[in-house]
This record gives sequence, structure tokens and C-alpha cells, in this order.
Amino acid sequence: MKEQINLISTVSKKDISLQKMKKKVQFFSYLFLILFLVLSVVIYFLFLSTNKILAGNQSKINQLKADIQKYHKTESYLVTITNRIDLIGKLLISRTSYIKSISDLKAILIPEFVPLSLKIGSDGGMTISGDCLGEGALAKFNETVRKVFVEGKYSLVFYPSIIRSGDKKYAITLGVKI
Amino acid sequence: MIKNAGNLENKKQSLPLKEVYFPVFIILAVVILGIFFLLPKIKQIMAQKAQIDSQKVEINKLIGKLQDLKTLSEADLYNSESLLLEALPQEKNFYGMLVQTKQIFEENGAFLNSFDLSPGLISTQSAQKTDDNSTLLSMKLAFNASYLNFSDILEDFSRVLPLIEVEKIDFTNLSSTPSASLPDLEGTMSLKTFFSPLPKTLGKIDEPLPKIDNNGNTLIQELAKYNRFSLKLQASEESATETVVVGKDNPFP
Repeated sequence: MKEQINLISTVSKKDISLQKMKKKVQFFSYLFLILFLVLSVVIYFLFLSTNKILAGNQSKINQLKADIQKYHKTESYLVTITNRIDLIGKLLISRTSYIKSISDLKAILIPEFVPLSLKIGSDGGMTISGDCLGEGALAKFNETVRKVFVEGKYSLVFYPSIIRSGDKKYAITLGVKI
Repeated sequence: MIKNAGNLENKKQSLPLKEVYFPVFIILAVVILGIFFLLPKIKQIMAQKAQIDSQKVEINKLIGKLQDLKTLSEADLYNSESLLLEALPQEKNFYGMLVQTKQIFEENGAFLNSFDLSPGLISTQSAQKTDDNSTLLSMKLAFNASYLNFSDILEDFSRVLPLIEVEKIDFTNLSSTPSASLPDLEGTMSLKTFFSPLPKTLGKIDEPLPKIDNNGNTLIQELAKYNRFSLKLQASEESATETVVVGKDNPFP
């Protein structure tokens, strides 16, 4: 039977493991230091290069701004134009047009109807007053009104009053709303 | 001898401690330096990178704006701006409104019996503003016209610069002669014209260039066909400055 005998004493064993640990710590500390130095140098150069890029971009921006400033007049014209287009567009949309009302008025002015007064409001609606001589004239006027206004752009066509006088004359007031 | 042996023993004990503490100190120093020196620098670089990105975006924007500006014609824009400012002036143009109204009535053979115009405060800032940021100037007039003439008058008012809106019409008398199929009209008309101050900032370098869309171009083309007050004024000034020969000819040239 073979018996192994460790000749290294326990004290020496401790020393050896301590030595090994010391070497490891030393190695890692130096490695850490070297890495730190390398990283510092890299970061420093990166910082310098980004600084340089920033400065270069800024000077380019300044140059572009100076170039754009030369066209300030053109830009101010453009701003005014777009502002006016916007405002005029709104004005033209809301602008009341009386052309249609007037042309419709022409259509209902038949010889059987004698107009006496007419009001055209700010919304384009109309109120017209006049006389129709006899029932036949009244019927014809009513038929014309039906053709012109009822099938037109008006939302409401109404007679506020129709008054028959003794001489078979009909005093009519007609209102139309857009 | 015994003393020396004691010293050697002490050295043996302190040496391992020194050899461990120094590397540990280095590691700690590196960590501390890393926290206080490298970390802020890294943060700074990150911020700079973000700044560079935003600068690139700004540069692209500015290049685009500059290219757009280079393609625009200053003369054309000036003409369009003048036209639009004539349509909607920055100050009350009561003289323009008056001249245009008078002209429209004259051209259509109608009579302008009277007019009532109160311009009030002329300054744009002190004048009252409407909801759509434009300001009103109103005029009331009394007229006398035939039906057909009146129809043409209304048509003309809808195609004149400065923009004039017929607000209200009251016919006080509609008289028709037996020969005429349409009556003669007599009444009052309320007109209004608009004005609006210029935008507070007329273009900023950092802001994108405003674009005129197709509707805008169509509007400008449409307004160019309108009857312009400035052209009339120019024509009347030119005729007024024509040289008039006064006195006899020089017999000794």
C-alpha cells in the first residue's frame, strides 16, 4: 500500500496561496490602470472630435443663416402674402353675394306685379312688397315665385302678409331667406 | 543578532500588506477617477452627440430653406404682395373705397346721390378689430339706377380692389314706366371694406418658409383680374404730369 506524504508544511501552503492572490491582485490592478488610461485617452480624443464637429456645424449654421438673411426681403414678402391669402380667403368665403338675389329678383318682376319696396339684408335674404292687380295676377306671381325661389338656393320662402283691398288689388309682402 | 532577527520577522509580516494595499489603492483610485472624471466626460460627449444631431437637422432645414429662397423671384413676390395689400390694405383706405365706388356708379350710368362715410381712427392699432383679424370701414350711400345698371354695379363691386362688400341694400322706391319692362331703383346701400395690420414678425431665420399653395396661387391670379384702384390712380397721375405747353413758341430757337 502506497502512502502519500505531503512534505510541504501548512505554513508554506498558506504563503503560496497568499503569493498567488497577491499576484492576481497586482495583475488586475495594473490591467485596470492600463484600461483606465486607454479609456481616458479615447474619451479625451472623442471629446475633442465632437467639440470640433460642433464648432464646425455651428459655423456652417451661422454661414447659412447669414446667407438666408440676404433673402430677408423675399421672406417678408412671402410671409405677408400667405397672411393676406389666409385673410382674404376667409373674407371672400363670408362675403355676401347679391348677384344671385338680383337675378332672381329680375325673374319675379313680371308685368302683373308692381313692386313698391325691396330690402336685401346682410345675409342675402330679401323682403319685397308690391301690388298684384287681381286674382289672376296673384296666381301668376305665386307660380313665378314657386319656380324661382322654391327650387333655388333659398331655405325659406314665405308671405308675411297678403292684404286684399276693395279694388281687387292684392298688397303682397314676400320674404325669402338663404 | 536577536534584534535583527526580530526586524526580519516584522518585515515579513508588513510586506504582504504593502503588496496588497498598493494595488487595491490603485483600483480604488481608478474607480474614483472614473466616477469623477470619465463619467462627466462621457455624459458631455453624449450631450454633444445629441447636439450634433440637432445641428444636422437644423443644417438640413436651413439648406432647404435657402434653396427654396433661391428659387423664388423677388420681383414676382413683390407684385403679388402689392396686389394682396391692395385687396386688403394695412390701413384704412377710405379714399380708395370712395374713388372706386364713384367710378363704378359713373361707369354704369347710375347716380350716386349722397354718401356717408366716417373713417374714424385711421391708425390700425387703435381701430376696432373684427373676429377674423381684419377691420372694417363702412360707408352708406344713396343711389338712383335702372335695374340692369344696378345689377352691373353689384357685379362690379364684387370684382374691385380694395375688396368692397355690399352689406345691405334698401330700395326706397321702385318706379317703373309703362315702356320699360324693369323698374328704376332708388335706395340706400351699405358698403364695407376691410383692412388688417401686417404680421408682427415678417419672417424668422429659424422658422420654415411659408408656402403658397395652389388655392393661394389661384386667389392671386383671380385678384389680378380685379379692377384695381392703384392702376387708376397711376393713370390719373400720369395724365396729370403730362407736359403742357404754355405760352408762345420760341421764335429764336
